Amino acid sequence: MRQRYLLKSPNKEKTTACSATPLYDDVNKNIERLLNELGNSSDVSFRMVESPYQNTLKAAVIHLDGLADENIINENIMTPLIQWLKESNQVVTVEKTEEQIPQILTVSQLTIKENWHEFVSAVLTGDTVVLMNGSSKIFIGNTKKLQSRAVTEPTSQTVVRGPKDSFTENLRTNTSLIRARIQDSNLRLDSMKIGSVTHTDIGIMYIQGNADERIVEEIKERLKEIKVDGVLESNYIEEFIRDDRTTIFPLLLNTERPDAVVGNLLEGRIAIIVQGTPFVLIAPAIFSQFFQSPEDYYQNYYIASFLRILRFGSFFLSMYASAIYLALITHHQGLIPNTLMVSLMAQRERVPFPAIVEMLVMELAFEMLREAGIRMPRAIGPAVSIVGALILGQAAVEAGFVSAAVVIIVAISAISNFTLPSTSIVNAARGFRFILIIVSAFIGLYGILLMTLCICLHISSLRSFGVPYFSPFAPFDFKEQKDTLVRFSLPSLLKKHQNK
Amino acid sequence: MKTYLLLIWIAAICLCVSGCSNYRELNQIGVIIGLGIDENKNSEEPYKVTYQIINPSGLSQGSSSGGQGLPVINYTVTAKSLVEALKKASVVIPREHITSHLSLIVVGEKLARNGLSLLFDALDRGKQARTSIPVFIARDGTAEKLLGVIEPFEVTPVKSILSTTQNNQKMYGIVSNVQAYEVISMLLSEGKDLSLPGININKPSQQSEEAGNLENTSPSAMQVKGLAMFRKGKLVRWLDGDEARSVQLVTSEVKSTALVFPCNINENITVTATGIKSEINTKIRRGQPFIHTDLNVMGEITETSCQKDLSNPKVLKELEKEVQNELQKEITKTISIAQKEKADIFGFGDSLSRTNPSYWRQHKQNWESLFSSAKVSMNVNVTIVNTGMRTNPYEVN
Amino acid sequence: MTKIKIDGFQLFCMMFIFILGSTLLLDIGKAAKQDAWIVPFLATIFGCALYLVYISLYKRYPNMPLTGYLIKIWGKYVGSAISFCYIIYFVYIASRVLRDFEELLISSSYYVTSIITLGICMTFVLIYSIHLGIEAFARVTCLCFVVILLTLFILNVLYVVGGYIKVENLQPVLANGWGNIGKELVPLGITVPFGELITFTMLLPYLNKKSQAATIGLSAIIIGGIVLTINSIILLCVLGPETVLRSSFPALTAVSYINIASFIQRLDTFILILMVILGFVKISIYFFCAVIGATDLFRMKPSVTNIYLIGGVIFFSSLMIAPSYQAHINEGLKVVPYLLHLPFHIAIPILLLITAYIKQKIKPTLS
Repeated sequence: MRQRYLLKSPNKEKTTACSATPLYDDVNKNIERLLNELGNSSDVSFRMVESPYQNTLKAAVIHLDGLADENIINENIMTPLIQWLKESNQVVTVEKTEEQIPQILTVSQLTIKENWHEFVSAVLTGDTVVLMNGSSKIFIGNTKKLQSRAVTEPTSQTVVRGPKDSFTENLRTNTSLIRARIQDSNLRLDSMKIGSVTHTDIGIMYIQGNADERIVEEIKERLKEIKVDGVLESNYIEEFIRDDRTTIFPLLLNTERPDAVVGNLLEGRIAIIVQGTPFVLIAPAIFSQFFQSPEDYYQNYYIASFLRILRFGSFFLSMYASAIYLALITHHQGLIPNTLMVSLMAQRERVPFPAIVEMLVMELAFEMLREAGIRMPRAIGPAVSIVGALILGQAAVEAGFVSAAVVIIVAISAISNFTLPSTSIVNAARGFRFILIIVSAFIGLYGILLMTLCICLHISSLRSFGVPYFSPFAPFDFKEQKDTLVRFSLPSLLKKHQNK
Repeated sequence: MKTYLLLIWIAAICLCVSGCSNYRELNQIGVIIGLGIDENKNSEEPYKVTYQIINPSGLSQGSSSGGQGLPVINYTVTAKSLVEALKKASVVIPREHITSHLSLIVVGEKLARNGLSLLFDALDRGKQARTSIPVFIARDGTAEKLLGVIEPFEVTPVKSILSTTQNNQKMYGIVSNVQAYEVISMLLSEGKDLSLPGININKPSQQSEEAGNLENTSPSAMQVKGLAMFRKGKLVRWLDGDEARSVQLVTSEVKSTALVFPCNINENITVTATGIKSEINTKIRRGQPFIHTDLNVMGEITETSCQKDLSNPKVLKELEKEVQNELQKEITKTISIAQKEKADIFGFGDSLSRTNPSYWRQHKQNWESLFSSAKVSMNVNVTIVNTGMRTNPYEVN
Repeated sequence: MTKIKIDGFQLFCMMFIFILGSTLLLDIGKAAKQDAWIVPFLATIFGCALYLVYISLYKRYPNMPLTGYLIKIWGKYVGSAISFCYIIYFVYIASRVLRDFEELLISSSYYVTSIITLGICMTFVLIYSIHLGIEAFARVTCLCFVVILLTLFILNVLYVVGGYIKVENLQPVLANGWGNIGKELVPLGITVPFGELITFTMLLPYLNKKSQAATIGLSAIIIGGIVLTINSIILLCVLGPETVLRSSFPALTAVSYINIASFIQRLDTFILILMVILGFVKISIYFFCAVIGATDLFRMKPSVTNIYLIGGVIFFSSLMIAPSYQAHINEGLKVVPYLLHLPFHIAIPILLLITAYIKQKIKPTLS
């Protein structure tokens, strides 16, 4: 991906100047001009049809090969058009044809436009355009058919019990998945296009009456202000519209699962769907949401509560395990219990590196292993995992490069990283882990405590679209506590939404 | 953006300012786990201090490169004060030694006889070591020799001293572990005198300090021997066996013990006491202190060598009475020994300070003489709850 | 200033942690030996009375901090002079508390690190917290409240479970009469920690529901006082009155006794956590008051430079105010209460209240 796509695009003014240009009367000239503008792309296909009785009665059907559905063109545009042209044995004026064409074409959506810009964008989005000779009106029939994946299982947020469908790259499929779940007239879908080159479709869905109107307006305002060449993934949108641009914490939730989106919509949040990515953004997002998995609501609430507390615990463990271990063995040896002290000393006896170097090397090695695991082709997957386990674990300890305790601690912090359902918060934990390790090597537990205070202060000062990020912990809301650390039973949770 | 850069820069500087000053690698420190204080003949340097340090390579058995040597190493220095000894020990100890894992203190008998006085001030005032560690007296010997005994059971000699004394407290009850802060508060207090457990080596030999001791089926081992009685911080007398146990019975420190008393000539019955509780009551009558102790013992008969009908409750009641008498005799004997030595190791003075504070305030200066002439009465109550898995002993025909 | 709002619960947490302060760890009233627990108990009652004085001042001027209504009640010159003194007083006490905590840290775990490092690190966190504003700080105190409660609960449960509580250490009760207790109470017991609630007169204008100020404050004082009393009782029971008197850090000594099943031992970390949280909150609140006072008195906006400067002053004075820990403690016990605490906490607010009352009486007769 080249850097150019992220810069403010300068050619936006040029396209707006063309929008008012009308079409020519002559069909051939229009087609020539279109082919010129598209640079004679080989996938522009058009067909000229003529009436056998009147040679001024010509029509051209233009579409982009691959984006337009051939079946609809054949059945609903070409067949009735040719039929009509065969049967029109009288002389018809241009106005009459303009009247008749909408009744001939049997597509489900037909729009009539008159300007050039609409013509080009219609062809580029996969619609079929019918041009009549002598008329400057164009008839755009909806024949969009995008090649996209079938609805499959989600790859990132899997559950044991619960629906197993996930969003795809097609905006229409995604909105349909949400519509299928919320069959209420209050569900709104607003669309806009962002990106001066890619013209990516963005859909904003919310439930009228549940969602806060001010936040909806705010989101629309911010989306309108985005000026880029292209939007490739929802993260582009996220980084532009979030409140605090410099924080590592995610201020919008992203998910691949329709049931998660529907749950959030019911709670009054807003979903932003981007064409081209299955990850849907949800705004506003607060800290405790990143620890919730939709599966919490599909299982017994005792187990769900236990698992939620486990997730919070593992978030802290993944940040603090290495740092606290390092602080204890380098600065606060007095805090290690007697028996543990003896075994730790025996382990560290032959290791040549200082503890901080050992810890950083193991952590970095694990991060590398993780990255390698994502990009590795499947064929050599097992070989690399064996290599990783053997080299990083067994052999390093036996050779005396690292001590066994460090391997265990790094493994614990890595495993606890994986229990979190949302990758964005996991990345925050990873980042802070390294900072905490370095701070603990310098000043020990005092440094860790001060850094924790700084992190808490930072989190408490964040707002996601005006909602304090750390609620319901910090502006303490007692009623909300039913669903953060533990989950109370569904009847008591969902009572308030009954009277909508 | 500039303010953030400035912040990062300042944070980096402030981290570097700290210079990792407190950073110590585990293989750069020598962990002291035991401390032995002896008397040194030289009056310039009255203390001879022994430090027991963990040898990590001696502990790592099971790893491929093997370990060498014994799990601990002892270093001895002489110095004017304990803190000077700690610093002076750096002339022999190869690593930076820390006392944060100090687990016990052994004081030599001669030093204890000269007086403990402010020996524990260094421990009390120090930041690293804890005052919740037990203190022992090395009987008939020096702490140096005692700390050198390597037993095959426990990994380090310190551990074996600690577990032997704990085991003894649980099963026989001659002595109880006294922690350093309790020692200090007993030395401070006018109403209770110090009593400390004594330990020595049961089979002193040259080999006890070597690995050869580990390869012996009956090695030299640490032994709990007697209770040391102190008066005003100086060791005055040793109490052994049953006498020592009586002290623990009165102060309610025994968890379980075996009481043996004769039922016939040359025949004994053993009662294992499982629940022992004692209460001390003091009052002032006619200007004189009266001390009364209630002792409740619950036990079961675990061994007998005389033929008695133990299934009969009346017989049990008689046995209870006999145990009571035996106990009463023992405890009275011990209390009179303590009164003779003018050492109130039971804590009667403390109890008096709580029940009659005004009397205590006036007379606490000469509690010694008051204690030695005080009247002590006792009430022992023994309940035998069962006789084990059998009722009557098997008859020999 | 009026745009930022603090919740009722957040105010409660701030006051509670502030009251616990360093008294939780250092235990006031040590000289009364086994009756030392009565001192915080009685001090709570005085504290409630003192707080009512502050609340009645607050009710008259609900939107102005102390420096504001000082000027209103006593006129421009006298009012500004005394406001200025208050600001200097806040900075001084902030540096005292900072020194307190630095010394505690050094005496417990960081015996090699220099005091400058500990001070600098804490000062930076303080500057960051002031920079983010009182809202973020108030939210963090809610978290800290939970952490403190948990820690205290765990420690006390461990004391009880391990059998370290010896109730006879509390007897005989009142053997030495009320004299000792009285000596401890005046002047130290009333002013520290309850008199220091004068700082909240600067912070109360941020409260969103004005009517709750009295109830929240009183409940925080009463619950804080109860926690301090229980803490005092437990320390006395575990350590004994002589050890409490002789130790410079009773809470740490008590925690070092815990040794359950040879596994739950060496729990100094809990005390370290408590120390850092309590120190941070207390110094932050004083720092906030100084900044709020300065911006109010001199009509400035709270810019980053001001915060850095005041933070720097606090840090450097914390190094310079006393040459040794004993001198610092001595100053805090003998000089500061009489010279600073009594006038600033008690005398001036009461005089203010009387003046305001008299003015109110005069005004209707004039008009």
